[in-house]
Amino acid sequence: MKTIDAYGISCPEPLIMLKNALTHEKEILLLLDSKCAIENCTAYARKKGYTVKITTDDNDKDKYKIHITVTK
Amino acid sequence: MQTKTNNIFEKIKWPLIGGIIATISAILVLLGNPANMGFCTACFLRDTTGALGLHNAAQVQYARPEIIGIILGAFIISLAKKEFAPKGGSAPITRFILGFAVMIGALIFLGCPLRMVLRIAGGDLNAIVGLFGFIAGIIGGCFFLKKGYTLKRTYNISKTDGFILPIAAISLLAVLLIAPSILFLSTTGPGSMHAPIIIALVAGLIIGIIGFASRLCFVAGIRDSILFKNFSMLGAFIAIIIVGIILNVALGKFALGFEGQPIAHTDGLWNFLGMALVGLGSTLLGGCPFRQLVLAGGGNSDSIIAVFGMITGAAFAHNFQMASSAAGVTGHGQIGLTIAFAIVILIAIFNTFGKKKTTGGTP
Repeated sequence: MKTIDAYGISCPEPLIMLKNALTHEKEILLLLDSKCAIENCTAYARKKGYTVKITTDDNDKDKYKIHITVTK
Repeated sequence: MQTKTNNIFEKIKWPLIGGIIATISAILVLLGNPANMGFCTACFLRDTTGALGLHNAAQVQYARPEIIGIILGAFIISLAKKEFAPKGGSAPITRFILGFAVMIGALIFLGCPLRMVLRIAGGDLNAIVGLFGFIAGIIGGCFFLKKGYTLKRTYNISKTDGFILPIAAISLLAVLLIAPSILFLSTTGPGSMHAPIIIALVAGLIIGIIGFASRLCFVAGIRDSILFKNFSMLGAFIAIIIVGIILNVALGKFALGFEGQPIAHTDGLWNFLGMALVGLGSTLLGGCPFRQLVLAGGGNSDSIIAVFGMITGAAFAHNFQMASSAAGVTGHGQIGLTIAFAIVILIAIFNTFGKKKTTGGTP
């Protein structure tokens, strides 16, 4: 599984990182903390047919972990 | 049922926002704002810069309540949505310079992307030339983004930092209401033309709230169409143009053509290049001037720095005769734009190819 650490990275860069990674990865853990990036990235992954699971960091509720996998 | 309503809302959201902006703009023009300038982030920041005496172009000095309203509207909604999270530290000086350059480009064209769309709705064909330049600039910015352009991470900063701009906005409003004579206010020209303060303020508040909640951005709409084939935000631009044309025709303010357009010039090359610089610089900043102002109100200190860059750019543009007027582009403007373009391209190159792609440590 590939981890993309996009904490503190502003739109549209996280989505570009995700888009590039999705071309060759089946499972991605995307680390985000901006509402804009979270909405854009999850919407993009869902639109492309991936399963998206969102959790937050135990220590910091503003840090989100977006788990993106290929839908079986 | 809930999802169905949501889906319908998602479909009509952008055209609705565009329609609201076009309507508010038309009302502001009807009540006194300059023609085709119901709203213009660049022009209004420039006027406000003048009101503070940072430039001395006597015709464009006024503390625009729309700017104050946008900042406060974004601030209020960010608090209400619990999204008020002051952040900063992503290449501040670079953002200052990019804001500066974007303002130079906007004042050579005579308008920010929002006013460009409003000018198109007024029948100003020069703005179509500007639109082509704007798109070309965004395509250029997307090239660098795809190649890995980044201004690196932004970090959480003190909450107090995010309160400073809204407090400054309230202070400026208080001065405008209580002691306007200490400000520099135009008696002739575009700066003297304005809707009543309270109406302009409310208009700004509404657009600031809508802007923050929807993340409307005139660069993002085109940029995301290019990068992600996501065309939804373009619905807002098209709606501004269509509703704007209808309102302008109804009010007898629609005039199709190149010549004699309000606060515009007909120099196609520099209209194109001015907006190309706005498109490129804004893409590198992550959003258009309007979006920067909205984010600034929401506490983003990177955007506040970009806005300060725009204010400084506006002061330089008028102090050194770089800004265009209805009479056309100036020699200084042509030189200034060329230098600003070169600097922005260098910023793009250095932040794309100049370093390793791995971004700094964990925040």
